[in-house]
Amino acid sequence: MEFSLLMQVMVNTAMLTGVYVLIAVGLNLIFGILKIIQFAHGQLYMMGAFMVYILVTGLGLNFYLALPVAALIVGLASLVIERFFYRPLKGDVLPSLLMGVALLVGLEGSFQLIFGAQEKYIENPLPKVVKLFGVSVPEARLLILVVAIASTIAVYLFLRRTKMGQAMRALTQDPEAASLQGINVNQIRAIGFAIASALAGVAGGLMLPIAYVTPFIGSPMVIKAFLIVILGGMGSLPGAVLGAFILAAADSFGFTFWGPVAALIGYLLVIVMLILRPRGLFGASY
Amino acid sequence: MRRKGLSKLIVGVVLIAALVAGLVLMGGCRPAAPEEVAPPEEAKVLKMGFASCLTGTGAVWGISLNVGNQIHIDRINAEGGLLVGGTRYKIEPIIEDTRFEVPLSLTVGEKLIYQDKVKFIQTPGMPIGGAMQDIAHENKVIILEWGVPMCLGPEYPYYFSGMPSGAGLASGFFKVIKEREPEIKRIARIGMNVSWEPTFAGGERKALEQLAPWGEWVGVVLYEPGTTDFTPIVTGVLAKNPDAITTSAVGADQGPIIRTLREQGFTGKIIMVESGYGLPELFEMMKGHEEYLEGCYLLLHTWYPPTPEWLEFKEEFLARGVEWHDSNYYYQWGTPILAEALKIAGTVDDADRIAEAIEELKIPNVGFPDVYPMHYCGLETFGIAHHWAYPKAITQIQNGEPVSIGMAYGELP
Repeated sequence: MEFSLLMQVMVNTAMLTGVYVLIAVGLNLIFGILKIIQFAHGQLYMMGAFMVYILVTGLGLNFYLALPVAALIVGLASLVIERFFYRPLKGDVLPSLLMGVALLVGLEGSFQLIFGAQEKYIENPLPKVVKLFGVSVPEARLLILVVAIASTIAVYLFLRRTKMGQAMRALTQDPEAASLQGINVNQIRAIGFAIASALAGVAGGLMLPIAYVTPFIGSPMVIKAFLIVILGGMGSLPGAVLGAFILAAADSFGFTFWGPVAALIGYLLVIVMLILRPRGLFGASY
Repeated sequence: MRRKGLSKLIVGVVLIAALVAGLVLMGGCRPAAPEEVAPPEEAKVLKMGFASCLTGTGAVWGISLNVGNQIHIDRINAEGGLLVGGTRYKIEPIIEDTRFEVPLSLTVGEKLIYQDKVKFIQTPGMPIGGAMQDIAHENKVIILEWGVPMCLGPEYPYYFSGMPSGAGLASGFFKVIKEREPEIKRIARIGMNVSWEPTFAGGERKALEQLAPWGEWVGVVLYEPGTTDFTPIVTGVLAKNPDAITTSAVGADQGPIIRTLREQGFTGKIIMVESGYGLPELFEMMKGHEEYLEGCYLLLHTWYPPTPEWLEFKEEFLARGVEWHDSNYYYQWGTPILAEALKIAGTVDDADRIAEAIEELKIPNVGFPDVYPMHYCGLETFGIAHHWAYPKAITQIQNGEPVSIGMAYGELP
């Protein structure tokens, strides 16, 4: 095997990890705080991409400005989703799951009605490719990795160093005890949900210049996110990062050297994990 | 306690009232029924079923099918209807949404066949047509499917398949490329991991074998539907050291694939056997990096520069407020085929005679300067001549502009 090929695959792994981290950290955060499986998380990823598309092509905003604005819009939209669709279900697992599926279909359908089914694109603001020892590193993908690292550190510090973060962690451990300590459970859950959704929105927005957006891009992404969360451990931030890395490595090495069989690797890992260690690698709380 | 019960009752009443009001409003919001106009005495109604896609992943193709055929239906009805065996028929399309899902497709098929009593169904894809193939056959309903020819066989004499396959087109396409690019030694392929991929890849491989030693086939790398990051796929295909790469991506996948190929330093020829929606979309996807497309070869539904008839169809399509992409031109042919076949057969009921008439048809494709008579072929390949022979334009990007340099015909023996 050529050294440059191996290096390229490793670089690909690192860059793919970035996208997976952004979406999986959010999903994991929601599970940790709300104890629900947010099936429509991928649709917030899709929403983020659409928001960037509108802001850039419709309002002529600079991509770097559009990205945080899109994340904010997705975060605000998710507050509505949490308040009116999830909160009334009081964390009941099955109704929440079904609500997630309903939201998935509903959001896909609504976006299709508004924007049509055809793919939308924007110009890549970072079109250059950095060449290092024969390895190609597109700047746009590098940006995703940088944002993923920065976001993960920011979420980690937020959870560890701020009062609100501590309140979120308390909620993941024992919501009733947290409530008795005077923590406004509903408010903290809503904020956690919004942060997680905004991260998904950022991921969607970052992927837009190198791919495209349609109302249907969310579903494959949320499946990836679930694989990551199961691998890494539900409710664990380091678990989400490690899970993202494992799946990215499986995808990068697998697709390069074994072709479409690689798509099965992630699922096989999840099956093995569920049998041997159902809580995942880091199945602890935040 | 009583107060709580009372408030529950009030909430219940309000909800029911809201529901009733909603239903009334929805009824009120429906488009007003067209004023009943008694049709001329001799004009009957001929129902044409569309097991289409209005939502879901196949919506782009479904909408193309619906709008393109509606244009022809409107033209026929505006002329007073279709004259078949001395009787005039107004065509009434019945459009249903399958969401491109197999179980729903069967339900839609049952509805169209048993409830609406249609005798003709068009679909934008093989999974839909395949799902309703047996009930359509039992009821002698003719299916015109505009997808991959995977359901064809002599046991289904009323089933016709549309998409010109790779096997049919690749041969002519590669012959032209060989003449222009004799230095190509190794060709690899990027394809989508779907049921029709082996048909396309197999056709391509067979075509290349006939041109050996030019363009040795060095393998295929498949990607999963829904992939948006093509980096691992591209790294995998480049590991095969090809000097030309064929891609057969559907929809908009072609854009990210080409971009990733160029970003990873591939400077060889990119040959697009299936080019997604069309060239304008491809250029839009490459905005800021149009040079990535330079020298690429494509098989397109559109001849560049387009013919006046093609432009007229596009204008009419756009006038209906629907997004345009070049493959819209491909999905329009079902109604002209059926209309001609019914006229020839002189009946709207006898499926055997209508199927025979369809087999004999030749429909000119005015979208190309060489007006090719489209027809059904494939007797040797499928055991029945029900595979649509459709032309495509072999086009190369030269100095940032598309230039059509030849035709490839979806002919199968």
